[in-house]
Amino acid sequence: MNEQDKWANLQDVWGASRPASAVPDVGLMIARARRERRLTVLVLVGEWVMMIVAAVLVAERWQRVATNGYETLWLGFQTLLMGVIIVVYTWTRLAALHEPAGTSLRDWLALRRRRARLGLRLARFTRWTTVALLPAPVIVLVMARSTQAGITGLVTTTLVLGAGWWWAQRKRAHMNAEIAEVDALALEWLDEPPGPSGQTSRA
Amino acid sequence: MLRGAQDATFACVVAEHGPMLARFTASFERNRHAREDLLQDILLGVWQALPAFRGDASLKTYILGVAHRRCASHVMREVAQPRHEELDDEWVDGQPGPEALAGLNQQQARLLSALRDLPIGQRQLVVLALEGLRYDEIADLLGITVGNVGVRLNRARAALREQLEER
Repeated sequence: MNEQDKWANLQDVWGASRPASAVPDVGLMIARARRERRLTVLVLVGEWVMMIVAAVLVAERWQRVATNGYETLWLGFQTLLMGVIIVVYTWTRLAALHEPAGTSLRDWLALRRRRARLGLRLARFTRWTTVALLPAPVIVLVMARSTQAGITGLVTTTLVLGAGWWWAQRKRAHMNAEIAEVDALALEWLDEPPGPSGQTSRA
Repeated sequence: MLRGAQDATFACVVAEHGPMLARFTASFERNRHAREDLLQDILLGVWQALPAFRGDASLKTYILGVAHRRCASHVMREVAQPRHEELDDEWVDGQPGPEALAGLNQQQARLLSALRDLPIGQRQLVVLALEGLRYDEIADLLGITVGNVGVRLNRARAALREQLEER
Protein backbone atom coordinates (compact mmCIF):
# COMPACT_ATOMS: atom_id res chain seq x y z
CA MET A 1 0.00 0.00 0.00
CA ASN A 2 1.57 3.32 -1.04
CA GLU A 3 1.30 6.62 0.81
CA GLN A 4 -1.71 7.82 -1.16
CA ASP A 5 -3.63 4.61 -0.47
CA LYS A 6 -2.77 4.80 3.22
CA TRP A 7 -4.00 8.39 3.35
CA ALA A 8 -7.21 7.47 1.50
CA ASN A 9 -7.74 4.66 4.00
CA LEU A 10 -7.29 7.08 6.89
CA GLN A 11 -9.79 9.45 5.29
CA ASP A 12 -12.30 6.58 4.99
CA VAL A 13 -11.83 5.64 8.63
CA TRP A 14 -12.15 9.26 9.68
CA GLY A 15 -15.15 9.98 7.48
CA ALA A 16 -17.04 6.92 8.69
CA SER A 17 -16.62 7.82 12.32
CA ARG A 18 -19.19 9.46 14.51
CA PRO A 19 -18.31 10.58 18.02
CA ALA A 20 -20.60 9.42 20.78
CA SER A 21 -21.83 12.94 21.39
CA ALA A 22 -24.91 13.43 19.26
CA VAL A 23 -25.53 16.67 17.45
CA PRO A 24 -27.18 18.75 20.20
CA ASP A 25 -30.45 20.57 19.92
CA VAL A 26 -29.45 24.20 19.71
CA GLY A 27 -32.99 25.59 19.55
CA LEU A 28 -32.75 27.00 23.08
CA MET A 29 -29.38 28.57 22.41
CA ILE A 30 -30.67 30.17 19.25
CA ALA A 31 -33.74 31.52 21.05
CA ARG A 32 -31.46 32.97 23.73
CA ALA A 33 -29.15 34.44 21.09
CA ARG A 34 -32.17 36.07 19.42
CA ARG A 35 -33.29 37.56 22.74
CA GLU A 36 -29.78 38.86 23.45
CA ARG A 37 -29.59 40.36 19.99
CA ARG A 38 -32.91 42.15 20.48
CA LEU A 39 -31.80 43.41 23.89
CA THR A 40 -28.50 44.69 22.49
CA VAL A 41 -30.27 46.52 19.70
CA LEU A 42 -32.76 48.05 22.18
CA VAL A 43 -29.93 49.20 24.46
CA LEU A 44 -28.13 50.74 21.48
CA VAL A 45 -31.26 52.56 20.35
CA GLY A 46 -31.80 53.81 23.94
CA GLU A 47 -28.23 55.09 24.13
CA TRP A 48 -28.55 56.97 20.86
CA VAL A 49 -31.86 58.50 21.94
CA MET A 50 -30.28 59.66 25.20
CA MET A 51 -27.32 61.05 23.31
CA ILE A 52 -29.57 62.99 20.93
CA VAL A 53 -31.71 64.31 23.80
CA ALA A 54 -28.55 65.44 25.64
CA ALA A 55 -27.28 67.17 22.51
CA VAL A 56 -30.63 68.95 22.02
CA LEU A 57 -30.69 70.08 25.67
CA VAL A 58 -27.17 71.47 25.39
CA ALA A 59 -28.09 73.29 22.18
CA GLU A 60 -31.24 74.78 23.77
CA ARG A 61 -29.39 76.08 26.83
CA TRP A 62 -26.32 77.11 24.90
CA GLN A 63 -26.75 80.83 25.63
CA ARG A 64 -26.66 80.24 29.38
CA VAL A 65 -23.94 77.61 29.20
CA ALA A 66 -21.73 79.71 26.95
CA THR A 67 -21.55 82.48 29.51
CA ASN A 68 -19.80 80.17 31.96
CA GLY A 69 -16.40 79.09 30.68
CA TYR A 70 -15.95 76.11 32.98
CA GLU A 71 -19.45 74.76 32.32
CA THR A 72 -18.92 75.08 28.56
CA LEU A 73 -15.71 73.11 28.82
CA TRP A 74 -17.31 70.48 31.03
CA LEU A 75 -20.36 69.99 28.82
CA GLY A 76 -18.27 69.98 25.65
CA PHE A 77 -16.06 67.33 27.16
CA GLN A 78 -19.00 65.20 28.30
CA THR A 79 -20.67 65.38 24.90
CA LEU A 80 -17.43 64.51 23.14
CA LEU A 81 -16.75 61.62 25.50
CA MET A 82 -20.29 60.28 25.15
CA GLY A 83 -20.05 60.59 21.38
CA VAL A 84 -16.77 58.69 21.23
CA ILE A 85 -17.91 55.97 23.61
CA ILE A 86 -21.30 55.50 21.98
CA VAL A 87 -19.93 55.43 18.44
CA VAL A 88 -17.11 53.03 19.32
CA TYR A 89 -19.31 50.75 21.38
CA THR A 90 -22.18 50.73 18.92
CA TRP A 91 -19.77 49.47 16.32
CA THR A 92 -18.12 46.93 18.66
CA ARG A 93 -21.43 45.51 19.91
CA LEU A 94 -22.98 45.33 16.46
CA ALA A 95 -19.87 43.55 15.18
CA ALA A 96 -20.04 41.10 18.09
CA LEU A 97 -23.57 40.07 17.06
CA HIS A 98 -22.23 38.46 13.90
CA GLU A 99 -19.66 35.76 13.39
CA PRO A 100 -16.94 37.29 11.17
CA ALA A 101 -17.66 35.89 7.73
CA GLY A 102 -15.09 34.37 5.42
CA THR A 103 -12.07 35.34 7.46
CA SER A 104 -9.03 33.14 7.82
CA LEU A 105 -7.66 32.28 11.24
CA ARG A 106 -4.90 34.84 10.70
CA ASP A 107 -7.40 37.60 9.77
CA TRP A 108 -9.61 36.66 12.68
CA LEU A 109 -6.70 36.90 15.11
CA ALA A 110 -5.74 40.25 13.60
CA LEU A 111 -9.34 41.44 14.06
CA ARG A 112 -9.38 40.34 17.69
CA ARG A 113 -6.04 42.05 18.26
CA ARG A 114 -7.27 45.29 16.66
CA ARG A 115 -10.42 45.28 18.78
CA ALA A 116 -8.42 44.62 21.94
CA ARG A 117 -6.04 47.48 21.12
CA LEU A 118 -8.99 49.76 20.50
CA GLY A 119 -10.41 48.77 23.90
CA LEU A 120 -7.02 49.39 25.46
CA ARG A 121 -6.79 52.85 23.92
CA LEU A 122 -10.26 53.67 25.19
CA ALA A 123 -9.30 52.49 28.69
CA ARG A 124 -6.16 54.61 28.57
CA PHE A 125 -8.15 57.64 27.38
CA THR A 126 -10.68 57.17 30.20
CA ARG A 127 -7.94 56.81 32.79
CA TRP A 128 -6.08 59.95 31.76
CA THR A 129 -9.21 62.03 31.43
CA THR A 130 -10.22 60.85 34.90
CA VAL A 131 -6.88 62.09 36.23
CA ALA A 132 -7.36 65.39 34.42
CA LEU A 133 -10.85 65.76 35.89
CA LEU A 134 -9.86 65.04 39.50
CA PRO A 135 -10.46 68.70 40.55
CA ALA A 136 -14.00 68.55 39.08
CA PRO A 137 -15.83 67.53 42.31
CA VAL A 138 -14.27 70.43 44.22
CA ILE A 139 -15.08 72.90 41.42
CA VAL A 140 -18.66 71.64 41.32
CA LEU A 141 -18.92 72.12 45.10
CA VAL A 142 -17.44 75.62 45.00
CA MET A 143 -19.59 76.81 42.10
CA ALA A 144 -22.87 75.34 43.36
CA ARG A 145 -25.79 77.70 43.97
CA SER A 146 -26.83 75.95 47.19
CA THR A 147 -25.27 73.58 49.73
CA GLN A 148 -27.56 70.73 48.73
CA ALA A 149 -26.79 71.17 45.03
CA GLY A 150 -23.10 71.32 45.90
CA ILE A 151 -23.16 68.08 47.89
CA THR A 152 -25.23 66.32 45.25
CA GLY A 153 -22.84 67.52 42.53
CA LEU A 154 -19.80 66.54 44.59
CA VAL A 155 -21.10 63.00 45.24
CA THR A 156 -22.29 62.50 41.65
CA THR A 157 -19.06 63.73 40.08
CA THR A 158 -16.95 61.66 42.47
CA LEU A 159 -19.01 58.57 41.70
CA VAL A 160 -18.73 59.16 37.95
CA LEU A 161 -14.97 59.60 38.18
CA GLY A 162 -14.57 56.57 40.46
CA ALA A 163 -16.68 54.39 38.17
CA GLY A 164 -14.69 55.58 35.15
CA TRP A 165 -11.41 54.74 36.86
CA TRP A 166 -12.65 51.30 37.97
CA TRP A 167 -14.01 50.54 34.50
CA ALA A 168 -10.72 51.59 32.87
CA GLN A 169 -8.71 49.32 35.18
CA ARG A 170 -10.96 46.33 34.47
CA LYS A 171 -11.01 47.02 30.75
CA ARG A 172 -7.23 47.29 30.65
CA ALA A 173 -6.76 43.94 32.43
CA HIS A 174 -9.33 42.28 30.18
CA MET A 175 -7.82 43.66 26.98
CA ASN A 176 -4.29 42.72 28.04
CA ALA A 177 -5.50 39.16 28.68
CA GLU A 178 -7.19 39.15 25.27
CA ILE A 179 -3.99 40.29 23.51
CA ALA A 180 -1.97 37.67 25.38
CA GLU A 181 -4.45 34.99 24.30
CA VAL A 182 -4.33 36.11 20.68
CA ASP A 183 -0.54 36.04 20.74
CA ALA A 184 -0.58 32.55 22.24
CA LEU A 185 -3.06 31.42 19.58
CA ALA A 186 -0.94 32.84 16.77
CA LEU A 187 2.13 31.11 18.13
CA GLU A 188 0.46 27.78 18.75
CA TRP A 189 -1.78 27.54 15.69
CA LEU A 190 0.14 29.49 13.05
CA ASP A 191 3.74 29.28 14.29
CA GLU A 192 3.71 33.05 14.39
CA PRO A 193 5.88 34.52 17.15
CA PRO A 194 4.45 37.72 18.66
CA GLY A 195 6.43 40.62 17.16
CA PRO A 196 6.78 44.08 18.64
CA SER A 197 3.25 44.82 17.41
CA GLY A 198 1.91 41.76 19.12
CA GLN A 199 3.35 42.56 22.54
CA THR A 200 0.97 42.90 25.41
CA SER A 201 0.48 46.54 26.19
CA ARG A 202 1.48 47.78 29.60
CA ALA A 203 -0.65 50.89 29.32
CA MET B 1 -32.14 36.33 5.52
CA LEU B 2 -35.68 35.85 6.86
CA ARG B 3 -36.08 34.11 10.20
CA GLY B 4 -37.92 31.07 8.79
CA ALA B 5 -35.56 30.71 5.85
CA GLN B 6 -32.54 31.04 8.14
CA ASP B 7 -33.88 28.32 10.45
CA ALA B 8 -34.62 25.99 7.52
CA THR B 9 -31.15 26.51 6.04
CA PHE B 10 -29.63 25.94 9.43
CA ALA B 11 -31.55 22.68 9.92
CA CYS B 12 -30.25 21.43 6.54
CA VAL B 13 -26.71 22.43 7.47
CA VAL B 14 -26.92 20.59 10.79
CA ALA B 15 -28.31 17.48 9.11
CA GLU B 16 -25.64 17.48 6.43
CA HIS B 17 -22.58 18.72 8.29
CA GLY B 18 -23.39 17.83 11.91
CA PRO B 19 -21.33 14.60 11.91
CA MET B 20 -18.37 16.43 10.38
CA LEU B 21 -18.56 19.08 13.11
CA ALA B 22 -18.82 16.37 15.76
CA ARG B 23 -15.67 14.70 14.39
CA PHE B 24 -13.88 18.02 14.21
CA THR B 25 -14.83 18.83 17.80
CA ALA B 26 -13.76 15.39 19.01
CA SER B 27 -10.23 15.93 17.73
CA PHE B 28 -9.88 19.00 19.96
CA GLU B 29 -11.75 17.97 23.10
CA ARG B 30 -11.61 14.64 24.94
CA ASN B 31 -14.17 15.29 27.60
CA ARG B 32 -17.65 14.37 26.45
CA HIS B 33 -19.54 17.16 28.22
CA ALA B 34 -17.05 19.80 27.21
CA ARG B 35 -17.23 18.43 23.66
CA GLU B 36 -21.00 18.81 23.62
CA ASP B 37 -20.69 22.37 24.90
CA LEU B 38 -18.11 23.14 22.25
CA LEU B 39 -20.28 21.63 19.54
CA GLN B 40 -23.21 23.76 20.69
CA ASP B 41 -21.00 26.82 20.62
CA ILE B 42 -19.87 25.98 17.09
CA LEU B 43 -23.44 25.42 15.91
CA LEU B 44 -24.46 28.77 17.38
CA GLY B 45 -21.53 30.34 15.53
CA VAL B 46 -22.66 28.66 12.31
CA TRP B 47 -26.19 29.97 12.84
CA GLN B 48 -24.83 33.48 13.34
CA ALA B 49 -22.54 33.22 10.33
CA LEU B 50 -25.01 31.72 7.85
CA PRO B 51 -26.69 35.00 6.80
CA ALA B 52 -23.28 36.33 5.71
CA PHE B 53 -22.49 33.31 3.52
CA ARG B 54 -21.98 34.59 -0.04
CA GLY B 55 -20.74 31.41 -1.68
CA ASP B 56 -17.14 32.58 -2.14
CA ALA B 57 -16.00 29.23 -0.74
CA SER B 58 -17.95 25.98 -0.42
CA LEU B 59 -20.44 25.83 2.45
CA LYS B 60 -18.40 23.03 4.00
CA THR B 61 -15.24 25.16 4.03
CA TYR B 62 -17.21 28.11 5.40
CA ILE B 63 -18.63 26.03 8.24
CA LEU B 64 -15.26 24.48 8.99
CA GLY B 65 -13.85 28.01 9.21
CA VAL B 66 -16.35 28.86 11.95
CA ALA B 67 -15.64 25.57 13.74
CA HIS B 68 -11.92 26.12 13.43
CA ARG B 69 -12.04 29.56 15.05
CA ARG B 70 -14.30 28.38 17.87
CA CYS B 71 -12.05 25.37 18.53
CA ALA B 72 -8.99 27.62 18.60
CA SER B 73 -10.60 29.84 21.24
CA HIS B 74 -11.78 26.81 23.20
CA VAL B 75 -8.36 25.16 23.24
CA MET B 76 -6.65 28.35 24.37
CA ARG B 77 -9.21 28.85 27.15
CA GLU B 78 -8.61 25.28 28.28
CA VAL B 79 -4.86 25.86 28.29
CA ALA B 80 -5.33 29.01 30.34
CA GLN B 81 -7.79 27.41 32.77
CA PRO B 82 -7.31 23.65 32.76
CA ARG B 83 -10.08 21.69 34.46
CA HIS B 84 -10.24 18.17 35.81
CA GLU B 85 -10.06 15.92 32.78
CA GLU B 86 -12.52 13.10 32.58
CA LEU B 87 -11.42 11.15 29.55
CA ASP B 88 -14.11 9.87 27.34
CA ASP B 89 -13.18 8.28 24.08
CA GLU B 90 -16.43 6.53 23.29
CA TRP B 91 -17.21 6.32 19.63
CA VAL B 92 -20.34 5.08 18.02
CA ASP B 93 -20.57 4.27 14.39
CA GLY B 94 -23.77 4.26 12.44
CA GLN B 95 -22.57 1.77 9.86
CA PRO B 96 -24.10 -1.73 9.80
CA GLY B 97 -22.28 -5.05 10.44
CA PRO B 98 -20.98 -5.81 13.94
CA GLU B 99 -17.66 -7.34 12.81
CA ALA B 100 -16.84 -4.56 10.40
CA LEU B 101 -18.03 -2.16 13.04
CA ALA B 102 -15.70 -3.54 15.69
CA GLY B 103 -12.71 -3.29 13.35
CA LEU B 104 -13.63 0.16 12.18
CA ASN B 105 -14.20 1.45 15.69
CA GLN B 106 -10.80 0.20 16.74
CA GLN B 107 -9.19 1.98 13.79
CA GLN B 108 -11.15 5.11 14.53
CA ALA B 109 -10.16 5.11 18.19
CA ARG B 110 -6.51 4.60 17.20
CA LEU B 111 -6.65 7.41 14.67
CA LEU B 112 -8.37 9.78 17.07
CA SER B 113 -5.92 8.99 19.82
CA ALA B 114 -2.96 9.55 17.45
CA LEU B 115 -4.49 12.83 16.27
CA ARG B 116 -4.96 14.10 19.79
CA ASP B 117 -1.31 13.51 20.54
CA LEU B 118 -0.19 15.71 17.68
CA PRO B 119 0.78 19.32 18.44
CA ILE B 120 -2.19 21.60 17.81
CA GLY B 121 -0.62 23.29 14.77
CA GLN B 122 -0.19 19.94 13.03
CA ARG B 123 -3.46 18.48 14.28
CA GLN B 124 -5.59 21.21 12.71
CA LEU B 125 -3.94 20.65 9.31
CA VAL B 126 -4.38 16.88 9.42
CA VAL B 127 -8.01 17.11 10.50
CA LEU B 128 -8.83 19.62 7.76
CA ALA B 129 -7.10 17.41 5.19
CA LEU B 130 -8.88 14.31 6.52
CA GLU B 131 -12.16 16.15 6.00
CA GLY B 132 -11.22 16.40 2.34
CA LEU B 133 -10.26 20.08 2.10
CA ARG B 134 -7.88 20.97 -0.72
CA TYR B 135 -4.58 22.74 -0.08
CA ASP B 136 -5.94 26.06 -1.33
CA GLU B 137 -9.00 25.76 0.92
CA ILE B 138 -6.81 25.03 3.94
CA ALA B 139 -4.58 27.95 2.99
CA ASP B 140 -7.63 30.24 2.88
CA LEU B 141 -8.86 28.98 6.24
CA LEU B 142 -5.56 29.51 7.99
CA GLY B 143 -4.36 32.57 6.11
CA ILE B 144 -1.10 31.01 4.97
CA THR B 145 0.26 30.23 1.49
CA VAL B 146 -0.55 27.03 -0.38
CA GLY B 147 3.16 26.15 -0.42
CA ASN B 148 3.30 26.55 3.32
CA VAL B 149 0.30 24.26 3.69
CA GLY B 150 2.08 21.60 1.63
CA VAL B 151 5.23 21.76 3.72
CA ARG B 152 3.42 21.77 7.05
CA LEU B 153 0.99 19.08 6.04
CA ASN B 154 3.79 16.77 4.96
CA ARG B 155 5.42 17.20 8.34
CA ALA B 156 2.10 16.67 10.09
CA ARG B 157 1.37 13.49 8.13
CA ALA B 158 4.80 12.12 8.99
CA ALA B 159 4.15 12.88 12.66
CA LEU B 160 0.76 11.16 12.43
CA ARG B 161 2.36 8.08 10.85
CA GLU B 162 4.81 7.91 13.72
CA GLN B 163 2.01 8.21 16.24
CA LEU B 164 0.02 5.48 14.52
CA GLU B 165 3.01 3.15 14.36
CA GLU B 166 3.57 3.56 18.07
CA ARG B 167 0.05 2.27 18.73
